[in-house]
Amino acid sequence: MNIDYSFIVSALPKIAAFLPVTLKLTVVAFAVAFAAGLLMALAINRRIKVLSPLCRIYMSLIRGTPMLLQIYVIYNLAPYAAAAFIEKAGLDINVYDIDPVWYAYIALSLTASVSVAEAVRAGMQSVHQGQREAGLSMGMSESAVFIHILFPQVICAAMPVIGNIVVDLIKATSLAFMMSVTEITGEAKILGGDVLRYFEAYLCVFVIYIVVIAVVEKMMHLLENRMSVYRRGVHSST
Amino acid sequence: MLKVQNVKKSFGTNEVLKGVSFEVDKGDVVAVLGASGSGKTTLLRCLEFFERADSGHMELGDLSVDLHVHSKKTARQIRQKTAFVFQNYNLFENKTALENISLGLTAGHGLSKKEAEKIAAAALERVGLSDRADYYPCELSGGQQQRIGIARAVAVNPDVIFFDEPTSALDPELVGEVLDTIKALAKEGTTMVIITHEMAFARDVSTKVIYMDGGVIVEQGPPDVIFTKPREERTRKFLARFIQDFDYVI
Ligand SMILES: Nc1ncnc2c1ncn2[C@@H]1O[C@H](COP(=O)(O)OP(=O)(O)OP(=O)(O)O)[C@@H](O)[C@H]1O
Ligand SMILES: [Mg+2]
Repeated sequence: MNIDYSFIVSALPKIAAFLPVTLKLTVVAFAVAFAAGLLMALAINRRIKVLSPLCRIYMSLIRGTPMLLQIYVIYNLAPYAAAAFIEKAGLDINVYDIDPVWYAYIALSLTASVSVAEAVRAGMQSVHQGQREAGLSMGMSESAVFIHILFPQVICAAMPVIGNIVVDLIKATSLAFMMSVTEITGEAKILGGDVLRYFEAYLCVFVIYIVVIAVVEKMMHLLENRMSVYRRGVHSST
Repeated sequence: MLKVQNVKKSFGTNEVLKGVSFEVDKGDVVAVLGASGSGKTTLLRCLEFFERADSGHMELGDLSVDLHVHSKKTARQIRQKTAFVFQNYNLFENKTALENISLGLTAGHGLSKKEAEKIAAAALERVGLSDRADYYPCELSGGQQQRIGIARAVAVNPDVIFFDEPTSALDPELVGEVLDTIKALAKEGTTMVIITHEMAFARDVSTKVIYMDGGVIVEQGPPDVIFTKPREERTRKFLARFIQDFDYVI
């Protein structure tokens, strides 16, 4: 097998130029997934009527279907439904004008939101609930107790899993190409396809993913360490 | 100052409180005694709105509350005037000793951070733990954690502090420091209701003793009466089990 090193040298920066797209997809999808996952975990935990069973159904639906299928439904079928709805409502919006990146955000956040909800629920179980009563007995409101006491501990407990969710998301962004959003994998496919140098192009992507994920894992690890100071203490004598 | 009337509470078919009434005056230290399962914890939990009583009424200062039907707002008003010391301390694990105390003042009572820290530091000093201000709960012994729990309760300057067996989760050698802390509060006139199995402590510190059994108050009165000549046979039998302890302590 002959490897075209000059192609790699010229393609790597071109592919890396799309790294911001990959990162933006990751960050936005994670933000959406985190908010949605947190709300679902709360709804289920507080057994809120209607909402709680709905969340459970949504979660098993997403968990039980491949991401590829979810992308197909969101990108290929949802616009038809939306277009029909918009026409009925008499609105003047063309669904086909919508930037496909929005579909990517939604599609990518589906699975991640379910994982976040599960991580948060597990985290909630690990936090001693007596602290909630202690907070209430000090005259704090339920929301103050949640914000100051429970939430930071829940997130700290969920951090290792959340780290995995972020890494999974980074990898999943390569599927955005199916929704005509060009990120690093997509660009590699285009460049490699032009001159039939797929192997070299994908080698570039491989290297970029390895580096990015290593950096992100390191950052998550530092963050986790920082957040969990209270679990280890700061006085080494004890 | 605190008046509790006819508290009833069942868990399913298990009738745990069958109409409990008592009063606490300012400066009182009320010891609540009773065998395991007699409903002591449930009683105090109803008064702090951790459990919803099936019926009952509570007056605290100028507040008057139905223990079954109440708004979140009234529950919070009562909680701002009371404090609770837990058997398992329940310190906020993600907060330092000082923050454990100041958080109730800022988030619970709307004080500024600066004022809260000043009061918290004073409260720490009162329980003799000024040098542990920046320690997290996981770095403190059980006795120290419970003293922080007490400082946290004292700091909000409540009308009454409820204690649920404050020393029963502690190793025997740590019980003394916590009881001494509570004794000091009693001397300063802090109003307290204390569930305890420490009979010698109850006799020395309390101004009033309540003996509960089977979800009712069997007998209540000053400690010298309850401990030396109880009227009820049930009280006598219960206390007899601890007499040996007394001889030993005295
Ligand atoms: N949340 C609950 N659900 C069901 N039953 C409960 C609950 N809490 C308490 N009970 C029952 O109520 C009864 C009284 O319990 P409580 O904790 O008030 O007793 P206690 O006097 O504090 O006992 P101890 O000295 O062991 O702490 C017990 O039979 C207990 O099983
Ligand atoms: Mg109890």
